[in-house]
Amino acid sequence: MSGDVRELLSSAFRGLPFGPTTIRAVTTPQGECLVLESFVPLPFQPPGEEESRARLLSALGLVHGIGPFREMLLRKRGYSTLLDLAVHPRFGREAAFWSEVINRKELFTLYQGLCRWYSPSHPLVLALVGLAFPDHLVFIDLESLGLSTLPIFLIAVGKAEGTAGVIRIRQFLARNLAEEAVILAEALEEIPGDPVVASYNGKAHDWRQWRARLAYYELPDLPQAAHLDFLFFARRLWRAAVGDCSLTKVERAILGRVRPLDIPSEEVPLYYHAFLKSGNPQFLWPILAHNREDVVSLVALLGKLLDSHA
Amino acid sequence: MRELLERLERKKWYRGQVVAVVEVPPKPGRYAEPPPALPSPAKAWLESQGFRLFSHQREAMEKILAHEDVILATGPSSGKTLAIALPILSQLGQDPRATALLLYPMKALAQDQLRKWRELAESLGIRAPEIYDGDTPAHLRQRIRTQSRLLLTNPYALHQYLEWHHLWAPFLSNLRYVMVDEAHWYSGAFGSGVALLLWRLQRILRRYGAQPVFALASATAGEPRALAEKLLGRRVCPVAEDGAPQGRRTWWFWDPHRDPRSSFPQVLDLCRFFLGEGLHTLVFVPSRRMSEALSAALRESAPEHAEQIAAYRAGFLPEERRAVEEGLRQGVLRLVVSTCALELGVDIGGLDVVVLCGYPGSLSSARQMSGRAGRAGREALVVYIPEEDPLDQFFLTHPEELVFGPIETPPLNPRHRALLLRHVLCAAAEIPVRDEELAERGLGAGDLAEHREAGLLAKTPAGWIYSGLARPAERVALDALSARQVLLRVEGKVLEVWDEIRARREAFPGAIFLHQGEAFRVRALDLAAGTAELERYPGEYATKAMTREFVRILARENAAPGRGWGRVRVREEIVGYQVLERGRVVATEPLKLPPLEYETEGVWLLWEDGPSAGALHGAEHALVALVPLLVGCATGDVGGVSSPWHPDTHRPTILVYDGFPGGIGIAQSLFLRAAEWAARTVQLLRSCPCQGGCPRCVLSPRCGSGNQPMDKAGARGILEAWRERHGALG
Repeated sequence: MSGDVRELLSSAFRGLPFGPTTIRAVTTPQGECLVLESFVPLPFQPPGEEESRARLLSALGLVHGIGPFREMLLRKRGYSTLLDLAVHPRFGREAAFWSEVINRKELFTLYQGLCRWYSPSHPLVLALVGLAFPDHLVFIDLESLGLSTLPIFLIAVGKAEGTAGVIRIRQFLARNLAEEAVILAEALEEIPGDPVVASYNGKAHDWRQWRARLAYYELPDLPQAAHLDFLFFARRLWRAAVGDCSLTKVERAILGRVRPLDIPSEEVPLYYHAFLKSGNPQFLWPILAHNREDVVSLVALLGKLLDSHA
Repeated sequence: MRELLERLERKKWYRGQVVAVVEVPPKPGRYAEPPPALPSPAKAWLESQGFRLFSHQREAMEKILAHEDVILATGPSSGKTLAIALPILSQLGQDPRATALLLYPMKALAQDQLRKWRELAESLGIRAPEIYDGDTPAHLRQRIRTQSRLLLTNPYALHQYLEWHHLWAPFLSNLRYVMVDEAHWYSGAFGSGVALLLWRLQRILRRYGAQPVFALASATAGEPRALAEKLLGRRVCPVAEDGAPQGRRTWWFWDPHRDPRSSFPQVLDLCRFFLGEGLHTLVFVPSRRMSEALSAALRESAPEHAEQIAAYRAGFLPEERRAVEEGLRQGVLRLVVSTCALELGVDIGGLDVVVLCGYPGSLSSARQMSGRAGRAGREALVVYIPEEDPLDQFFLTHPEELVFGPIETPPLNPRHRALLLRHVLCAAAEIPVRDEELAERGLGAGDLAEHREAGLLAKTPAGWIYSGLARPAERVALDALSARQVLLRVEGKVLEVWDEIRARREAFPGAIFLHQGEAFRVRALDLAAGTAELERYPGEYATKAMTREFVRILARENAAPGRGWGRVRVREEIVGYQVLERGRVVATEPLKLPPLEYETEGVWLLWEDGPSAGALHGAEHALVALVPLLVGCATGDVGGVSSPWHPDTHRPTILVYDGFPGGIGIAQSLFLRAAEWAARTVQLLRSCPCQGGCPRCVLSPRCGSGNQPMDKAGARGILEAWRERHGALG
């Protein structure tokens, strides 16, 4: 079966506007799975590290006790960055702590601080991208049989290839549910330590489900992650214009992208079930296409968000 | 009490209704020192409160402290909660990481008990326990999960949470105690479902390396060890010797037929009498309607006592219930009319008199209720007033049965195949199910073929995993014996979720039923959509479906002279229903519902040629009416058919079948106790004074053939003959 699936998929993908896609079977001690690899050019210039650092250093609100009002007062008195604040009798120690954290690019710690004192969809959180790029930034999208703790059969992880201006997308496919454990573990290898994870509603959904399934098979856990959940950024910016901000709506309205021949996300599990029942790999390529398109949109969306907050 | 009876006899309205008096001699208390293994803070607390432990409390504590699983099945107000709570809390005090899980059958009970646990935990310096269930606000859940050491919940909630066990890892890994309270509630379909839930929990605990002690508390039950073992699937030590003292208790058996009036005015007079005597009285009635009617009528007819009278039911708000309980404890309230809600372990102090209006359905409940009578060593009185029902009447003529009779064993079937197959789906979603586990539950890979075909289960190297498109815990109701559920809704909110089969029988359009003592009427039933719309019903009537049943025997499990049991196929046609007012039929309505077919278990009694259809029919009704006496189920949980010639036995046959699809063990129990069953039924027929049959012996309101043909004398005759011929064995 593995040979057929690979061949059929290879032929299917050659004909699609995805560019070259390699498909290979991966064998691990736990079993096999398929990995599809393709590339998408990065449609924007990522923010520079220095620029991002500077932005974060000006976040005086990270210090406990500095709310918007006090921040304004401090700025009036000439404290414009955390470095400036290091000499402050009351806030100096904590300001120095945060400067160090930013200096050392401790992304998760920074993320926790920003969530606590600002919000998970605050523009400052986007500044983490500049610190994370390229090695610590990942884009993820999962396809599963449904919500909560149901099985996952497809995991897409997008990562920047150095500074070459290209995102490599790897899709880990379970050809049957016996391969689920394999894709969970293989995709886990793609996630760097201290990651910044870009997703669409992934914090509450994809990531949580992935952790649940890893626990189900008694596999190691995902690392603690800073989440760039674009759903919340999108709502903040575009709710008035777009309404419920589902990914397809935002794609169309904000990115101007319309997917040719797409299937709705609710139907993805049905296609997979049909594939399992019939053994016919034709049911797979709409799922693979949909999944990949989701990641491509995430990448484009990041660009749009960075633009909007420039 | 004798003087009290004399004073009653002098009343003008008294007509000699007290036809039997049974005295239960007082029982001294058996006390014991706290067990040596109990840590000193707990011992010190006991001393400070001036508590003396009963022997059974010490026994239970010792077992728990020695890591033995235990079921404590003693009478009401015997300090069961303390016996379990104290060792658990004190151990939590010794080990700062240890956690404990407390399972209650209902949310309301968990709420009531939370306070008790909180107070005790505080006195011992332990972090307060918390409830975690459907009502717990979302923003508090994570904190409670990760920080609480003592959690209270109920089976419906647990059924949903097990899937997320990885979020509970620290709590579960450190779980040292699981308490299951009111374990006698877990019978029938609900109990069988909970047994499977506990199986799933234990699998998960094994993964986290936790081996907690299981402590079960139950009302007095027949065979507590068997109940516990069925629930947990492991050996459990029973502690059933009740060391609590019992004052002298007198039972009066009241025959309402001595008075031409109905029961209601008689109960009214009796209550006024007790109020006048200055006695604290608790009256148990079957429905809210009656509790309100009676308390209102009492207040009207005895206005000088109006402030001392109250009603009580489950539908009250917690504050309202609290107020009545407090009033009783303080003695401010002198007479409370309650539905069975007060049967549960709420502390209300003791009372002088308990009146039982109608047999509460089981001896266990009757004991719980009557157990409320008795204040600090004073004499207590229980008055039993039967309704128009064979079982109720049986106790009138056999009073010792009610007072001393052996408590039923609740039927429970953790091996119920259909239920098991549904819970296997949930188990597979929690942890992959290995073939060895299936074998342990009596299943083979072949049994899962249907699930596999439907795409719900997939075989992987890790085991069977759930592969469906919806969460199994949502699709599988905890106690669903059949595939389809019906949601009963009132004003848009779901009141209960029933099996499709029960819904057909009891929630047909026009049906009136009680939910925790509150009456509801079914406006519409949509089986296809799986919903029933209800409305509150303020009126006086009750309904009973009239069914015609056809039963075929599929396979015989076991047989003995004159009897047998095995798998049967039932076809039930509901032809209409009767509307009853206080037990008397006032109307008959037709119904058009599709017939119901299902497989279950049945038991049959056989005769040689001779018995007439009428005799068999009468005997069948009487036998069915007495089933609850032997097996802890309700009359409505079984059905019966009789025929002078049954196609599968070729002989005159009476067949009684388990009304739960798949069977929950009722049929086998009846088979094993067939002789006793027949003997009791003969007693009932002998002692009923009617001539040709009445609702108190052989006439059943549920009969689809209008109780025709009927021969009461014949029924008694054939049962006596059966007993003579086959009754010697067992």
